[in-house]
Amino acid sequence: MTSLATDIKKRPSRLRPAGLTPGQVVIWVVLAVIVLANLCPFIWVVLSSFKPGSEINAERPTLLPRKWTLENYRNMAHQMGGFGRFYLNSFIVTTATVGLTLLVGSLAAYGFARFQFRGSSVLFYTLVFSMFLPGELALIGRFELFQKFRLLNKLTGLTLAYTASGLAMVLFIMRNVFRGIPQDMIDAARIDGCGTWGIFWEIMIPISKTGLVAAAVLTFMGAWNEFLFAVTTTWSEKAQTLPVGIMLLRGQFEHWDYGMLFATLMLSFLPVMILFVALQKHFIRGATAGAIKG
Amino acid sequence: MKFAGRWTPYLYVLPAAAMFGLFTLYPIARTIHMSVTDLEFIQPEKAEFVGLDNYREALSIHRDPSYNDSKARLAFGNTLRFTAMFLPLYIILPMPVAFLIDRLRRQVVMRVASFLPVVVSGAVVAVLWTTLYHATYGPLTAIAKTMGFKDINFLANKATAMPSLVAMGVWHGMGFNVLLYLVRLAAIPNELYEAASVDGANRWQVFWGVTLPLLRPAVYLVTVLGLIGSLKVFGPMFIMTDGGPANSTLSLVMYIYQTAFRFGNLRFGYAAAMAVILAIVIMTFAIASSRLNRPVDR
Repeated sequence: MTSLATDIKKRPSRLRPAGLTPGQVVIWVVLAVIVLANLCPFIWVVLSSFKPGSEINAERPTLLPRKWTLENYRNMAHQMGGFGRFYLNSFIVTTATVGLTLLVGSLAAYGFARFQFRGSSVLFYTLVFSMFLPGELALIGRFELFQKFRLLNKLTGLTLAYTASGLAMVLFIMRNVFRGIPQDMIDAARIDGCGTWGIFWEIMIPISKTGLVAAAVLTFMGAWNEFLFAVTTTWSEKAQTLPVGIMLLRGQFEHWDYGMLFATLMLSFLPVMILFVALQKHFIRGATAGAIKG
Repeated sequence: MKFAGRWTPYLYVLPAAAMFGLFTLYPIARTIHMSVTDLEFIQPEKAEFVGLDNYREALSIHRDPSYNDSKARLAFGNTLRFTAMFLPLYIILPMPVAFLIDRLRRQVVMRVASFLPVVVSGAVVAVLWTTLYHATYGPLTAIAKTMGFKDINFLANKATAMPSLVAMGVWHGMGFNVLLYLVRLAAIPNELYEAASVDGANRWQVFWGVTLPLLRPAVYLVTVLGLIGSLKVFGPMFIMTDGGPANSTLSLVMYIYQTAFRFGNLRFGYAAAMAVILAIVIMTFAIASSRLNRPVDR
């Protein structure tokens, strides 16, 4: 498990001649068809979100709207049904989780990567081993604990739980990254009078941006998508995140305004997709780094 | 001057250790502890030690057969049924896509496009697919109707409910596996392909002799991840079918959830025991796979 050597390398080859050969064109066309079919569900939602109510509730569903309208989005702006709040909650919890996990995780990773101390390997392997434990095992115990600490139905509670779950992964990635930093750089800083704390902030962190971004992406995906814990420990709008909220909104919209559901869905996946396309390199690196998690 | 004091490393590790201990390790220990009691959420003071009775009940090996829980058996069975349908498709379907993308000179567009569904959260995907399966307005229902299936209702019919969830799950996970395969394919050294073509191997022989064996570690990874993921399946049934019709899509994790947080006296102890059983199964696969994978993967 080399730390982040997961980039897809370009491989020049005699078997792959330059230029757009007929073979390449065929592959492109076949792939385009597959990928387009694969993206159909999203296309369906996007197109449906621009249909008027009469077409959405038609006997025979159509793909393209006959009449394009922003009706569904206008309705949504008037009666969000908590959508804005769910989004905000998700945003707060995810941002806080990513920030806290990276900070606490890298500090510990630094401790493990750069110091020998009594109990270090026992502690490290306990933490790493916990990555393979399913979250379901902690669920009921956490629920009881959170009840005692009054953390149920709170954004703080979700953040702490997600941080605790994401820590081991970040720790594991960052320890490998920190270990790869040459000793010479640290020695040089030490001669310049840097303490361990200074070395952490001035050398370790700036030099490890790639690793940090991969770890951040992974933590982001975990916190943004988490469902089981959120659905068990939150029950009012002030703490419910988007995955829980979208389920509740489906229940509401299904009966009185189906069109708004498409607008809601569209606004739920589009921002994340745009973020992904913009940061695709980091996303993909982070995702493959995370594949080692059980 | 000593560079780092004796306690310095402990200070760096402390915040992580404290958070982990309090919010992960303690809850896990507590869950395991609960699993040997008859703790019920609504009357926690009455909890008593019951040994392995919860485990016996869940696994239907209780001394008194009337305790054996047929719903737990059903949930285990459903989870295995889901896994059996899900896993082969999850492993095989992304392969041809990955092989095709691997042959492209510029892969970025296709890689990104095939990865898109993966970044959308499971809950959003589940609600999205509910609209696809909708009994009157759903496009998949409409397609099925034009193909001659009258009165089809994907999620409300016992025969189609589980496969419908499987189809969604496979679709959602595809892009991720395409990527894992691609990473592995790109790591196959060119010399092997060149050697094979020098030896006069045709494309088919190259595929069976070079590509597939070298792809094995990725197939392995996908298998283990898919297996673990499908044993833990919860969201799709919770959102799309609520375990129905007639509990035919009730998964193990969903049953754990119902036992602890939804029905009856909220039997935390019993739910905890089922969670421990699930964890043991998953850990077994995870450990076995890491053992088996080592000699293959460098």
